[in-house]
Amino acid sequence: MSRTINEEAAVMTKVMELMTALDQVKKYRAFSRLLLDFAAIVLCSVVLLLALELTVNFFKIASGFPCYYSTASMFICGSVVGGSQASPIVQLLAGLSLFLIPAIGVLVGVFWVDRKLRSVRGGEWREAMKEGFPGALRLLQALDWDSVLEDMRISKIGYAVYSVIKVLGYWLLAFIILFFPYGFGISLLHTGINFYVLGLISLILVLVLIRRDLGRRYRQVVSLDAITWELRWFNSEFKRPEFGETGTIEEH
Amino acid sequence: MNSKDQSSERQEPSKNTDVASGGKHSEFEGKKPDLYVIARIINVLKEKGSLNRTALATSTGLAYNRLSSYLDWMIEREFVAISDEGGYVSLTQAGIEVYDDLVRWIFRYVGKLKFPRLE
Repeated sequence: MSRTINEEAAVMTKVMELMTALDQVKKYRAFSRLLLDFAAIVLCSVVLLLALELTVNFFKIASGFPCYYSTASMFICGSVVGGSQASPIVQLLAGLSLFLIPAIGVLVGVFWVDRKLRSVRGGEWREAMKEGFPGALRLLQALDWDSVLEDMRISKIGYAVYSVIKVLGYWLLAFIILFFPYGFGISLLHTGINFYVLGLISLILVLVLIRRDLGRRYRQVVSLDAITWELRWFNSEFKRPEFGETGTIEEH
Repeated sequence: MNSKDQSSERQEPSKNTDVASGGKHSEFEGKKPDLYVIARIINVLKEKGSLNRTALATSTGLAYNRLSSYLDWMIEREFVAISDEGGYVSLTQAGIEVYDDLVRWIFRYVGKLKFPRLE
């Protein structure tokens, strides 16, 4: 009798672990869907940037090219041609827009994804667990394994893609931040800015700074993989029991 | 009841709504009873002892008719017994054993699962 009580408790604990893991997977799954939102927001920021570029170029054509302006050195626009028609602040902002608008797009995207993720609820199964073992049994019976395994697969991909996007986002931000001191340093030496070197330094810096986060994410993907294999095994081995005509438990 | 009447009853089980009288579990024609419901009934009876049908329906959260269908099915297999006085439903040894079997069955599979912690 006490053995059964222990087994009941063990079943409940395992089912709670399972449902907690599935809640987390649900979040990752929602996250994978939100990556599309994220991509759309970033794309909108790029479209906005292009629209702004076109407008500025049109303005320059219409007003006889008042300042030196090229996408590779927009920042210098204000300082090189201080006497142009547009104020230096406007010129500086126009120059920075090349980096600022996509960066703001990335930040808005991250904020949007974070807000939406917080609204993903889980733990509905806790109510069923209050019933004890029968509740755990009901949860197991109600699981749609095809859907669960599909969610696991997409979650794993989504999680990995997010890690890559996050690195790219931080890389862009680091590039913008490093651009100023690097640009000033190079200007003092009167040589051109090597964007490749700056990009490489930014990337190395980002990888060093978020190495722990990257390690954690890698472990998460490995954990997701391990859970997938556990669930695959469970799905193939677990024969749903039923009561036969005689009242004995039989495999389904 | 003559043989014709009995034949008629077998052919049209769904018409017999007096499931509380026992022996007619029309809900399960062609399908198996829900394991969860049976486990729930047994679990409540294990916790609370003998209960009348109304109290049992309330405790299990089942509709009275549905509970009666399940009780009939369980009475046939001697998982539960109904007392003559007051119609109290109580669990039998067979009912306790089948519940334990069910727990063991599930544990056999679920007990082997190992989940790494996700953040």
